[in-house]
Amino acid sequence: MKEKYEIMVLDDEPIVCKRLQNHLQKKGFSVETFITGQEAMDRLAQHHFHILITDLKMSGAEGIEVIRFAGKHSHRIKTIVISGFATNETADEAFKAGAVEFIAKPFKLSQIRKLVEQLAAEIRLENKL
Amino acid sequence: MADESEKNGAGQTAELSSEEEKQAEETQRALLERPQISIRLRITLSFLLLFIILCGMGIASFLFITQFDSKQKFLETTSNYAFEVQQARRYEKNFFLYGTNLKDALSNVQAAQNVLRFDREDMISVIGDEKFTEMEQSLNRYEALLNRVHSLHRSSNPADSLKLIPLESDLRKYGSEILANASSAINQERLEIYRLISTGKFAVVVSLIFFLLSIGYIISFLTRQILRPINRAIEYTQRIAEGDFSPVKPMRKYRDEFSNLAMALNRMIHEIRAHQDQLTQSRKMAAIGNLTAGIAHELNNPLNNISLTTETLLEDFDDYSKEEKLKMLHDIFDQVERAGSTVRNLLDFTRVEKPIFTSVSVSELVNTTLKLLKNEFTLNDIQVEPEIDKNLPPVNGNPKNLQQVLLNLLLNGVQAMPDGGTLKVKSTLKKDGFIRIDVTDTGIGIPSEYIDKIFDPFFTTKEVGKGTGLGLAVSHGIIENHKGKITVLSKIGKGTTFSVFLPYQINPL
Ligand SMILES: Nc1ncnc2c1ncn2[C@@H]1O[C@H](COP(=O)(O)OP(=O)(O)OP(=O)(O)O)[C@@H](O)[C@H]1O
Ligand SMILES: [Mg+2]
Repeated sequence: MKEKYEIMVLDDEPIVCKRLQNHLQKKGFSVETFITGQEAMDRLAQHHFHILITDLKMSGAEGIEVIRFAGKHSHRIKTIVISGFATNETADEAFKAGAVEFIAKPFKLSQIRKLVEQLAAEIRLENKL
Repeated sequence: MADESEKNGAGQTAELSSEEEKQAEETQRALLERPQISIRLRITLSFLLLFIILCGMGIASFLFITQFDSKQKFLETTSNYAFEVQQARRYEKNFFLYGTNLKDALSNVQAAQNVLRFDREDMISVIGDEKFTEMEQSLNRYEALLNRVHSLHRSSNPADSLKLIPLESDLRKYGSEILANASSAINQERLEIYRLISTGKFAVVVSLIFFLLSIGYIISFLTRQILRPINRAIEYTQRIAEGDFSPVKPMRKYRDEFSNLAMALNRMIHEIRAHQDQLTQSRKMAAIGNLTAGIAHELNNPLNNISLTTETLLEDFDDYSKEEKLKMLHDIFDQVERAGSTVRNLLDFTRVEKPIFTSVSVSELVNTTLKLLKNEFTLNDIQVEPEIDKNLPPVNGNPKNLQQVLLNLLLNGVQAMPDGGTLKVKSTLKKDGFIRIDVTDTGIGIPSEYIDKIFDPFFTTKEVGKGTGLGLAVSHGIIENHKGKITVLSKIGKGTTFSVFLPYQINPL
């Protein structure tokens, strides 16, 4: 039986949430979306997600905080950062906080899907070991 | 504690143009070029003057006392001399009346001669050589006569007794002459002493007054020379603290220690300005960095939304219902609009062409802008209280630009009061050539850590799609263009006042 991977999407752009949810659910993932960092962290504290897809805003502070929080509460979580503010500094900061991928906006749904599937495969492998 | 914060939006962008640099150098040179009279020199001179006056007074009193003393001595001597002569004359009279001994008279004359000899120097110094010799001679003549009388009297020759008669009248004449001379000298000297005393008194009073006056003058002179520049230096530091960096100019004819202070102040002003310019320069660079990053962020998000929605439609067109597809198309349309408005705002922000300036009435400007927003106010339950002085002079400006500023401030006010409130618009004429327009809301206020950022492009605390963060940046640019400034005063939970200062036209065309 194929395991259902749980994904959290955090972005204050509602369209991003809706499109990603729609798309990834179709591909067989379970997706929950949030538009504020606080709500996302409340949920992360109660529930384990496999993958976190989060936006990084210009000031960056809130997004980084969520990435750290996620890492602390479920340390095997894989974090993908999506940002319209793609500079080397923000990417570095995101990686330091624990992100594994950094995708610049605008991106393609297929791009995200491939990445998510790849990470899911990694998780499967890790679980087997 | 009250969370009150203030920020000067405009200004502070003072650039060290070569024109100003030259002016600064010139004042520095003007400060140096004046003749140098140091304060130390001035104080020394003042005290030297006082010292000279005091010495003069001392020497004068010493001379006075010496003179008084010698006159006094002369009086004494002359009195002694007169006494001896008087005595001699008494014996001479007795001799002629009763035939008594003439020896006593002679010894008195000798005593008088001794007095003269003894105090010769002193007397000469007072009555002069000529008078003294005269006195001496008449005394000698008198003595000679007495001697003759004495010898005639003693001879047994009766013819000699006859010769005595003319001698007697001669003697009397000389005797009284000597006495008269002496007493007239005494009187004269007395008079002179009286005169000396009264001149002395007068001189003391006058020199005392003169001394007091000079002390008063020196004190007031020194305080003027020292206190005034100190007060001026205090004024300068206050001026500098308020951000006025024009150099300190020479105010007095001479160069002294305070000129060195003024030059030090000028050097300090120069340094501060150089540092500030560096700071504004680096802030500008940071702002440009922010701006590009902001543009990227603000445009990438709507583009991303458009891309995701289009991709969904392209891939799974048939999986969605007609309503869902329409909704997605609407989303795309909205996001295009959003990107477009960002670009429009950006163009406003970076517009290079000069807007056309005309005479603008502030009261009209405020009224039309308030009318534009009437719906917005009623929808958001907002009370508007305009307090507009109708007699304000016009300002020279671009009406569209100025309206945009007012719109931005009023909309920010509305957005700061989600549960309704009061929006006050007040205009006043200021004495320094500015018209002040205050826009006050009773909204949420601005946290002090944001105050420094609100004028930065793309700084916003508003939700996605509600604010681009360009409103205040654009307004700031416009007001700067109008040679005015914009300031903010805010208290968390109480409200915010934005104040716009615009220079008014002195002679409206
Ligand atoms: N009257 C006010 N009360 C409270 N906060 C304010 C007020 N005016 C401005 N601000 C703060 O300053 C920020 C910047 O304002 P600005 O007008 O530049 O951008 P914005 O209103 O967010 O977006 P835009 O005006 O471009 O739609 C706002 O996001 C808000 O946090
Ligand atoms: Mg605004």
